[in-house]
This record gives sequence, C-alpha cells and structure tokens, in this order.
Amino acid sequence: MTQQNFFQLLNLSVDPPEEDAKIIKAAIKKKQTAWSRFRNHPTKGIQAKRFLDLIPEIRKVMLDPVLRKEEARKAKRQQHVKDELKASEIDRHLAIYFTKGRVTDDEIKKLQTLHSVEVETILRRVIQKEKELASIPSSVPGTAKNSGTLEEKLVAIDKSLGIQMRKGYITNEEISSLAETYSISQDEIINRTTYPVRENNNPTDIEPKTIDKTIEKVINRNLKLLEKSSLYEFLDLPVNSGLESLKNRAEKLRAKAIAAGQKNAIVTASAELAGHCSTIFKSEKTRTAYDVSKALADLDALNTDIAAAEMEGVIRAEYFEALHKTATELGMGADEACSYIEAYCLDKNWVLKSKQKRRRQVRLYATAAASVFIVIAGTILMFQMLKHNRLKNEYQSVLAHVKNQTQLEKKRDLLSAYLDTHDQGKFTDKAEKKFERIQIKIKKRNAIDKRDYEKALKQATGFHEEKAYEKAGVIYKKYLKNHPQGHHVDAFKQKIAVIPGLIDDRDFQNLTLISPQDFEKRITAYNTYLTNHPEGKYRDQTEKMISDMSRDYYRYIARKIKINEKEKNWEECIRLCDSYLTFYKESDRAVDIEGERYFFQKQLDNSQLLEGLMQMASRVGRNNVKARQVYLDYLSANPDSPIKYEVKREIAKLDKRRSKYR
Amino acid sequence: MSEQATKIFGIDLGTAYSSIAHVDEHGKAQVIPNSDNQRVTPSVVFFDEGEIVVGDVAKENSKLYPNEVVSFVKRAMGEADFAFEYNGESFRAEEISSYIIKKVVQDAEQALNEKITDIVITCPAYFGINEREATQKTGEIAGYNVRQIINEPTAAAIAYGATQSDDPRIVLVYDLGGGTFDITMIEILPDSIEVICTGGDHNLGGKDWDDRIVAHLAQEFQNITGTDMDILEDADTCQDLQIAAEKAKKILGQRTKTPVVITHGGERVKVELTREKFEELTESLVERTIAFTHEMLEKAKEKGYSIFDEIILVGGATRMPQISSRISKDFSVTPKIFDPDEAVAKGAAIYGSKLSLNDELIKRIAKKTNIEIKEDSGVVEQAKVIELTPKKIVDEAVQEVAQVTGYSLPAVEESMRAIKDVTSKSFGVVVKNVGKQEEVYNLIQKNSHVPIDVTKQFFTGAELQETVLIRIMENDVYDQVVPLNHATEIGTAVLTLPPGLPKESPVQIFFKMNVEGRLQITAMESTESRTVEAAIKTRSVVQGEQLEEAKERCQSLVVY
Repeated sequence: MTQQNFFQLLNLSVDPPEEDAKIIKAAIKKKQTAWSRFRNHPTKGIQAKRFLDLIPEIRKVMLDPVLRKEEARKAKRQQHVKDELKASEIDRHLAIYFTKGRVTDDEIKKLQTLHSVEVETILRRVIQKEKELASIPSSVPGTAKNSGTLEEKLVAIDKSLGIQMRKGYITNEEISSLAETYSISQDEIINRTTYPVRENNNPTDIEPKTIDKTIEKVINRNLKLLEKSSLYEFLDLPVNSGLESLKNRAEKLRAKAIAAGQKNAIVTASAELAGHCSTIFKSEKTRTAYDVSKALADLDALNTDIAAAEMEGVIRAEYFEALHKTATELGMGADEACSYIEAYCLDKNWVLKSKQKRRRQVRLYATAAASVFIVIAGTILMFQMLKHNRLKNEYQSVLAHVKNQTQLEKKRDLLSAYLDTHDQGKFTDKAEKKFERIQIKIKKRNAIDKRDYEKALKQATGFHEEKAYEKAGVIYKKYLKNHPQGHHVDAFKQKIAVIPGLIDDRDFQNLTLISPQDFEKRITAYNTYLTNHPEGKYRDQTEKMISDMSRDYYRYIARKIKINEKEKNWEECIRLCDSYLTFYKESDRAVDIEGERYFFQKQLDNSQLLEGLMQMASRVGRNNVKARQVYLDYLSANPDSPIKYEVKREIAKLDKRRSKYR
Repeated sequence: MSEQATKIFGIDLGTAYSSIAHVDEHGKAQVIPNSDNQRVTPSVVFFDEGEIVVGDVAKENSKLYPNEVVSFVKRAMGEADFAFEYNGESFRAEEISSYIIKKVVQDAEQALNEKITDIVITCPAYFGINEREATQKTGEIAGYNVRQIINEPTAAAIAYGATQSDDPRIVLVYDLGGGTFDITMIEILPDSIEVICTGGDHNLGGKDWDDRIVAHLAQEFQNITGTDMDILEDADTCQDLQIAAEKAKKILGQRTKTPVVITHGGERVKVELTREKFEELTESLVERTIAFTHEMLEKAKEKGYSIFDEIILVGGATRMPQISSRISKDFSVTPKIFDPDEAVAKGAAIYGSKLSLNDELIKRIAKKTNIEIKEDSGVVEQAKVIELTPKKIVDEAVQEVAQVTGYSLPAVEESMRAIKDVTSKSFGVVVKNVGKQEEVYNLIQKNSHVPIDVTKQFFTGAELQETVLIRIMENDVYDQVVPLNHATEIGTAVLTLPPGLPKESPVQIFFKMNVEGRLQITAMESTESRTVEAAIKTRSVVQGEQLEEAKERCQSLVVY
C-alpha cells in the first residue's frame, strides 16, 4: 500500500523541509486533535482512524532527522507526480480548446475553477501546449486497434465491454464489432463476459438499475483506502468470474482480515467491503446493477470533458469532434458516442453544434435532388423498373415470411430456399448477407446456449451432491427461461420432473436420522413431512411412525411434566400438554392430559396473580407497612381467593423482616 | 444488604447508552433510573466551560456545540492516539468514559440514598487486553473499586438464566449494541453458565446503521438541490443528521416510512425514508453479523456443539425488524428479543451480587473450618473451596448469609452457580521455525475456557546465547501457529541467561489467564531457574502520571 507522505499529511513545508521539532510536534498534535474529532464521523471516520493509526509511525519518522530527510525527498517526488497528473488532466481539456486553434480568457478562467489551481498554472500549460502543437506534424496516423499484444487487446476489449455495460446488457452487434475491430473470435469475447446478451439495442428500454448512490460511495471510500478500483480488484478475480467464486473469495478475505487481529482502519475497510461483496454478488441482478454503476462511473472523465467544453451553454462543433474521439477511444461505437454526448447536453440544456449535424442536412438536400432526377428518368426506365419491382416484391415477401418466423433455423431455411431459386442479383446479394448474419446469430446463440448449459449443469450437479434439489430446480428453470428453444431443453425438463421424488426421498431419509430420544424433534419433523408431502411416497410409513411412538411420547411428556410441575413451571407444563394433544387428541390418554392442562392453567393464573401483587408491593419501595397494606387490601376485597394462603405467607415474611430491623 | 456485605453494582458501559443496575432485597435485578427518570443514559459527554454534562442534555447540546461534545467514545477505548482536546487540555477515551460512569453512579446514589463503592463493568466479549485494561482504568479514574470486568453476552446470559427454568439449554446470544457486535454460544445448566464459543467485531454496531442513513440523507440533499457540496463537512449539520438518523432508525422499527428534514445553508429539504430503502442501505452490515455467526457455529461444532435451543437478541439495535427476519431465515429459528436495553446491566448486577454473597459465604466457611483463604482469591478458587467443604457446613453458611443480608435462601444458593467464560483472543509468543522464519506460537487459543494455565517449553536458537527476547502477541486466529503479520504485540520481556549455555537449551514459558481475561506471563530457563515476568505493554491505556492526573481531575469534577 502506498504510504501517505507525512509532510503532506501534516501540511508542513517541503521545500525547504520543516526542521523545527517544536513546529513538527505542534503539527502532529493539531492533526491528532482533528482526526480524533472525526474518529466517529459518518463518512470520514474510517479515514480519520487510518490517520490516527499512522501517528506512531509519523512520530518515528518526523522526529528523526535522517528519516525525516528521506520523507521530505519522497514528498517532493510525490508532489511532482501529483503535479504531472494534474497537468495531464489540464492538458486533456486544453486539447479540446485548441481544436479551434487558440484558448480564450474565459476558457482559462473555467479551467482554473474546474481544477482548483492558480491561473498561472493554466497559463504555463497553455504555453507548453502551444509549443507541442507547433512541433507536432498536422496529422498523426492512428494505430490500428488490432495491433498490439493479445493481452493489450484483451484489456481494451474488457474496457469496452465495461463501458457497454452501462445499458445493462451488450448486443450481438457490439460483440461482432469488437471481434472485427480486434481480430478476436466472438466466442472468446462472449467468454470474457457474464453480461446479458441481446439481439439489439432498444431505445425504449427503461434505464438499467444501478446500486444506490450512497452504497456506491461507501464502497468507493473503502476501495480508495485499500487502493483498489473495483470490488473485482479487491477480490483479485476477473470481471467474468462466477457468483459462487466471488462470494467464496469475499468470505475468505473477510476471515483473513479479521484474523489479522489488529483493530485498524484497513481491517475495518476490508471487512466492510467483504460484506458488500456478499450482498452485491448474491444474484445476477444485483451484480448487474453494480456493473452498470461501475460503467457509468468510468464515464466520469468523459463527462468532465464535456463540462469543460461547454461555454455559456454552447459546445462548439470542433469540441464535439474532440469529445467524440475521446468517447470512441473509451470503447463506444461512433453512433453511440454521438448519441451519448447529445443526450448529456440535452440533459444539461446545452446546445451542441455538430459538424455531423451539418453533414446530415447536406445529405438531405442531395437526396431531394436525386429524387427529382429519378422522377424525370423514371418514365424511361419504367420497364426495367417493372422487372425490378417484381424481384423486389418476391424478395420482400421472403423477408416478411422470415420476419414472421421466431426460430432462426426456419429463417435460415427460408432464405436458403430463396437463394436456390433466384439468379444472382441485387436482392440475392442482400438475401445472402442476411443469410450469413443469421448463420452467425445461430452460431452465437448456440455458443451462449452451450455456455449457459454447461454452467447450469455444473451448478446443478453440485446442488444434487449436496441434496439441495430445490436449488437445482431453480437452475434448470432459469436455463429453460433463457433458452426456451435451447438444445438441452428436454434434458433439463426430465431432470425437473424427477426433483419432487428426490425431495420426497431426502426428506423421509432425514426423518430416520433424528435421534430416537429426541421425541419433540421427531414428532415435529414427522408432521412437517406430512404437511410438505401430502401425496408423498412415505406418507403411510410416517403416519405409522407417529402412531407407534404414541406410548413413548406420552411417557416422555409425563416425565417432563413431572419435572416442571415440581419447579412450578406452569407455562412449560401447559406447552407440553398442548404438544401431546396436537398429535394424539383421540388417544386414550388424551383425557388425562386435558385434565392436567386445566389444572396447570389454573396454577398459572394463580401464580401470575400473586406475582402481580408482589410487584405492586415492591413498587412502594422499602416501606414494609405500605407493602403489607397492599396484601391486606387484596385479602379484604377477595376473602375467598385461591391464593389467600400465599398472600398470608407474604404478609408473614414482611412481619418477620420488620421485627428483625426493630 | 448488611453493613458487612459490600453491595456491588453492575454497569453496562455502552457505546451509545449506559445503565446501572443492582439486585434488590427481593433478589431481583433492577435497573436504577437516572436523574431524568430514564433507565438508560446516553453515553454522550458535553464539556461546558469547566463543567461536565453527561446524558440527554449533552446529546441535545451536541447540535449547538458539536465541537464540545464527544459521542461513541467506547470505540476509541484502548487507542493510544485518540485525544479529545478542550480548552488546551487533552482527554483520553478512558477519562471521558469515566465521566459517564460517574454520572450513572451519582444518579443511582441519589435514587437509592446509599453510597456506591464497588462496581462490575461489562465490555464486549471481543475486546482484547488493551481494551479491557482501558475499561478497568475507566472505573478507577471515576473513583470506584472495579471488582471485575465481565463480557456483555455472558452478563446477558446470566440475566436470561435467572428468568428461566433450570432446564439445561444451549443459547446463542446475538448482542448488537451501539458500537459492537458479539455472538456467543452459552450453555445454561442448573448449576453453571458456561460459554462455549464467541466471535464478533468491535467495530460493528447500531452506529454503522445510523451512518448509512446520514450518508443517504446527504446524497439526497445533493440530488434534490442539484449541488455537489458535501453538507457533512459542516459540523452542525453533521451532528443534526446523526441525531435525526438515530431517530429515523428507531421509527422504522415500528413504521414502514418516516420523513426527515435536512436544513443546511438556508435550504430546507424533506426526505422520506422508507424501511425498504433503509434495509437496502444496511444489508451488507447484517451480512457481516450473519457471517460471524456462521463462523462461530463452525467453531462450536469442532468443540462438539452442533445444535442450539434458542437465539436471544440483546442490545438496542436488535429491535430492527431486518435482524429478526434474517436470523429466522438463516437459522430456521425465531429469535427472542430479551430485554435489549437492560439485560446486560442486570446480568452484571447479578454477577456483582454473586461476588458479594460469595465473599460472605467464604468468610463464614473459613471461620467454621479454620481454613486460611486469601483475601484476593478469585471466584474459581472460591468455587473450589465451596465444592470441597462438607455440605452441612455450606448449608449453615448459606443460612447465615441469607439471614444477615436479607436475601432469600434461593437467591444465596443461586449465587453459587458457576460462571465459566472463554477468551475471545489467542495469545502466544514469537518463535523461529525450522526454516528460521518468525511466527507466533499460540499457547492460549481463542475460545479456551478461563482461567487457564499453560506451560510450553521452547529452546534457545544459538550457542552461548545471553538473553531471550520474549514477545507476547495477541491475535484472532484459532490455529496453534500463526503468521507474524496476523498478530499484535502486547508485551515484551528479556530473560537473561546464565553464561555458557549450549544451543537448544530449554526455556519454559508460563501463560496464566484469569477469569477477566488478564494475562500473566513468566519465563524460566532450566539451568539456574532464572525467571522473568513479562509486562503487558498497555501503551494504549492511560497509566502512570497521566492516570493520576485523570483521577484527580475526575474527583474534583461534578458531573451533571
């Protein structure tokens, strides 16, 4: 973990480095007080605790001349790195402004506010940027995305997939596009993600669910403390890991953090993050919400750039091109980048001047002119058009049939039949492309089907081994829901069909494992089996087991009643009676038990009455006379009370106590 | 109580609320209300120009004077570098906590019209040596004789055991307080209460639930007003929201939604907080408690305890519906909320009464049998004496004690019930293994019953070795051998060896832990039987001159 620099933490001068021990001690004390105040702050508490944990180390380093000197050197290096980072952020925004060839005063002021720096810092970067631009050739050939090592490509693909996840899914088209861009197979790309895959983007889709912003901030605060950028990095697992692996790793990290035995901020942050992993990775739904949140957060830098590009509610066309480039570099497609920037500006009520918009207008005019020409030439070409129309109608008829089909194979077959019966031409070319696309979709679908089937089978097998048949059933049903036409539907339907029988066997087996001496557990378990399996195979057997244990159970109840009766535990006696009567109401002994129950209820009522009196008496404090009067008043009002002897006994006790203290 | 028998009061020194209890003349544990007639006192301290105010008034003042008020100070117990500064003076967590103790004791003295000298204080089972030592010092600074520090779940089990029948049962105590979480398995038998296993986190409590609400409210303020400003930077607003959050959490225990008003910088925003949203925000916190519970149950299984009869919920934070429902779901048993605010204090009071009655019993037994019993003999030695004494003599002594103290016979007999606790941490020493790597060898393993004595022989590593550095380590691991970076050093000693010793000369190390979890270490070399005792380096705890200054300050203060 990168250590915080102590000079910076204590706000001490680095250049020249503070040497006065008195000033250093005062600074430590001041920070100690401030951090102690924040120790229990709702959001800053964990960082304050982290800093407090560092105090012994701070004292050791800052009060030793040699160590302090080295710390000052580190401070300068870290400050330099920090300055460079800041400079590169400023440069990124300047690059946008320089697309028009210069930077205005208003833009410099804007950057000053945005980056919280002095105006001179911005001006220095402007001068630097002007020098760079003067020396760089006018166009720099870009590097093809499909160059670079395989690892670099995979990193870029993962980044793109992450960005796409902000919709909550990725589309087949996006997978194809990535595969083409990076010359990697689509299967490989599908394997790198667990995101839901859809046919197309649907503009009418509701915005995907994200995790609550508060939770997101809590997670990020803890991640920052541990210098991690995501929960996946915290768990040291790839983004496409299965839920079980993620949860198991989270549990291991939690146990490891607690085992560290130190009560410090790092341990607390790790334990908190492990807790979050348990909730985030408990289902695909919650995991997707986290992935969407992460994807949106990854776009923060782009959003900052858009904000920087805005001046008085307008974004210039040149700036739009620069922003568009940034967005595509992040992994968005060209149209997608346009839509994203336009939507962002619309949300903020900013006007976006775009060259692409102008190009669209020009295309419109050109199309109109072409139409006029076609109308004039139409008469001449009418015969050709009739033939053309016939072919077109046939093609469109095929398309309509293809569209009506739900199964891809049927769509493919229709197109295949069309191609077999028509000569090469414009429409057969289209049909052929459509045919190829469908072939690709079928292949992709099969790949996803295979992946999901294997995953489901593995999970369900595990559950079968654990005899968690219900969970296995859920897995099978989920597959059937996602792949109603899948290749393995029948296999899974068969597996689902046998599950009730397996559950029945398991539950009955469990009954036989209960200790014979544990009567209450046995009777409850038998009853539960009958309730859960009204048509169960072992119903008769279970009923016989209940009937067979009638005598033993009676003996057990009688024994327990005896013990509790001795202890005057009337509530427990009543419960035991009820427990017997629930199952053996018609038995010979039920009458006896009912009688006993009546007796115990009476005893309970009396004891509660007496208890109430005693409480009243104790409430009057240590004054025995008043307490005594409580009892006397009761006897006077209830001369024939069933508890009169007990009340008289209490009075006698009070009298005895009084006489002792006289 | 008679003049001879000293009455011992039980204090639950909580992160958010504290209370004091005693056993009355009927043998029942009762919480004593404070001067505001409330049975719990907020653990909040307000420094008001030379005066110290504790409780509800301090909590109210925290809104106006956030920088003069300290809350949740229990979380900083045992932290050497926590220091609250007021008027140029620095206050440690122990001293601030002593004001809370002083307040509850003063109010109790007023209510009962009797002087209080001896107390038992509770602490989370998961507190380590430093934190327990700090709790002990807290009572001493306040000017009282701290008879013992006992674990909160054990105290709750004692209180629970006192209200139930004598049927043997195994109980899980799920204690979620304001700042700490403990999960403990306890066996309640007719003649003893025995802790089997414990786990928990002393950085997880109701306060964390409040903090999530505060963070959510701050976020909602930003969403509604469209500002990026962090309103929690303002101390007044932050304090306001913390109080509002606690109130909202309590309301959501009864209702499904509640409005909260946020006022900051002239803006007034109303947020409706639903129970659903609250449970969503805090789900990960519940997960952590469940994970600890599963872990503890696994360890209990290893000790041969695979089932339990019931789960009792203790601590105000267990009133949240999500706790009961999650426990029911995970463990297929409906938990019982048992006196969440008072169980711990009452249990401590019962234990205090037990100590006091035991003292009386032992005195009388010693007189009748002419056995010499040390004045500072602990509960275990006392229990042994009672066990070995003929029943007739014990019965006579019990009768005498009942007569003199005014307690009933059953109450005196009940005081002889043994309480067996476990250590929540492992303790060991740093050794070098065959690969010359440093690691920790645990002599006392977590969840061992206390008191416990362990002796282990080690060997010197070099020829003519002159000294042995013994580093005593505390950790949270069950294993016998633990990596060094998983443990914290709590003490050291240097044993000087006789000259000319060969390599691999034996050195014996003795670990002795008492019922309170306090550790004594001795090391001895076998040639000349030279010994050394290791001092537990409670650097984190106030001591020496600082301790005396704190005591003097506290004595001269009136706490309101």
